[in-house]
Amino acid sequence: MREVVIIGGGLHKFGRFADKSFVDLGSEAAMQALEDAGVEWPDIQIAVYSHVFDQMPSPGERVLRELGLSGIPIMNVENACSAGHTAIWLAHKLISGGVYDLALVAGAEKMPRGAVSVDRIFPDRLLGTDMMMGLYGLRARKYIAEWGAPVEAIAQVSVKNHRNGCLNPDAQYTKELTLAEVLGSRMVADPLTLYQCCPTTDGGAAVVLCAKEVAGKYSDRMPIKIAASVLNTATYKEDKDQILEMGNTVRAAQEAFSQSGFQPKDIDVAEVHDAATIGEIMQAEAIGLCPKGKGWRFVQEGKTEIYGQIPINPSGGLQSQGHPLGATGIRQLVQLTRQIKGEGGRMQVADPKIALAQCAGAGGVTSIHILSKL
Amino acid sequence: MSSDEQKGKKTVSFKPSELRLPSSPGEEIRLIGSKCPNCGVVYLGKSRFCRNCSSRDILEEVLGRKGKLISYTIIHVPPNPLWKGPMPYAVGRVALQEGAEITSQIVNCAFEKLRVGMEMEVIFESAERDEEGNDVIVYRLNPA
Repeated sequence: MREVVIIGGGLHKFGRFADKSFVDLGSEAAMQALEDAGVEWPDIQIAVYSHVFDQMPSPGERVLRELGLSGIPIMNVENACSAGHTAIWLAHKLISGGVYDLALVAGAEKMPRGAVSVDRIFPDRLLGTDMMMGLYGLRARKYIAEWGAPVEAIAQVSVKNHRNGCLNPDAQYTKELTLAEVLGSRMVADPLTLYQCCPTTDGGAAVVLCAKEVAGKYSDRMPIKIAASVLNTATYKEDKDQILEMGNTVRAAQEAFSQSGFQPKDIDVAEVHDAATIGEIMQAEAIGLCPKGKGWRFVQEGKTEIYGQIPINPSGGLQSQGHPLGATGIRQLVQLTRQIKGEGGRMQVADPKIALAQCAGAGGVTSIHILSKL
Repeated sequence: MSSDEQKGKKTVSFKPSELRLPSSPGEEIRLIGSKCPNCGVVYLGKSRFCRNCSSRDILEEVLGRKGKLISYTIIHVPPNPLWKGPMPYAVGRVALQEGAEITSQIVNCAFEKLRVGMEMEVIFESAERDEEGNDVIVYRLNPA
């Protein structure tokens, strides 16, 4: 299999943009990624577009026709919170397998405001269980009971990520929050308060992927290696135990470390799926970035801060940047590529060489990418 | 017959693969699960293939109504626009004695009395009337 590198990335700022369509968000990110890579759109051989909410038939085609109708195959991917990673995973497979040399992966989302409408025939609506933050609330309560974590330690994830978000020009929320403000915000799914649940957001992200062996032909920019690309779904047992443990993240991480030859201790910086504060802690433990049951201590001791032992979500994560579902996974890789290149701006972690990105979502999907210097 | 039945109105299950209404007088409402003779797992809901090992030999199993609370949360925002239940409300996940797990609203319990590990039972109640005026029966959780 051929090695695959990221040669450029672009973002459309995350936030609320009433006057913009998903086409505006996605095409802006795609144009920036091409410019960052120094690649012209007609050179791109395949494009994969990720989204979650219904946009219209062939949304990727509609986004990318803004760049010109070059005639290449364009695919559309939906895979809940891992949609962006899934699009990259697919492009990675196509390039590593030798089918194509040069791919663009883009994702964009216009998130519905307020309560997401539910189909009347979906029966679980009558149980009150059809709510993602409810699942995270169950996880938080179980984690507290199992490991003796104080609610303050879990809420501290939000304090950290909102502080980091202030350093990020693309974040939706750039306001520091105190622990008292996080704990004092209105309750959503006890013990999780509003400021521990990621906001819904509009945004776009894109990367250009290339086979390493021909990258110099297309681009003169510094290539960053995709050292591992993993996508899975929960097995029966992992699904059953999902309140207590992110089992398929454990398995995805094992596969990612096997693919890359790295170990958890080698990771210099990570972007981890913090849809809820407890999510960051449990996912970091599942990946092996901190010992099981001790993730909350890592947060309290500052070990996951930008200057800490293992910086987690220096970008501000989903908590401060928001979560445009189809763009989030790609956004992680754009920012980690910048981190490794030393282009992280005020978010920059001290000289990272190896970075890990992780997303997980509804349906039991989990995805991990590891990036490294060549 | 009840007066409702005489008027042509009846009770319906919100999800027949998990909750079965009596087919004859004297029968009880049943919680339906599956048990795999091949790998031994038991879970809520009738299925054609074992969700663990994909065996086609999966058998229907009537589940008991007792179990322990794995975890719970109190939800303070409406879960969907059609929600007619109380606000806030509790949701719990219970490990039933046979090994199956069930997640639903917790009723008849003050929030502050909820504890991880407490004994729970499954109850059946009407959640709403559907368009035809039928009572829609769901399962909910109750402290035992």
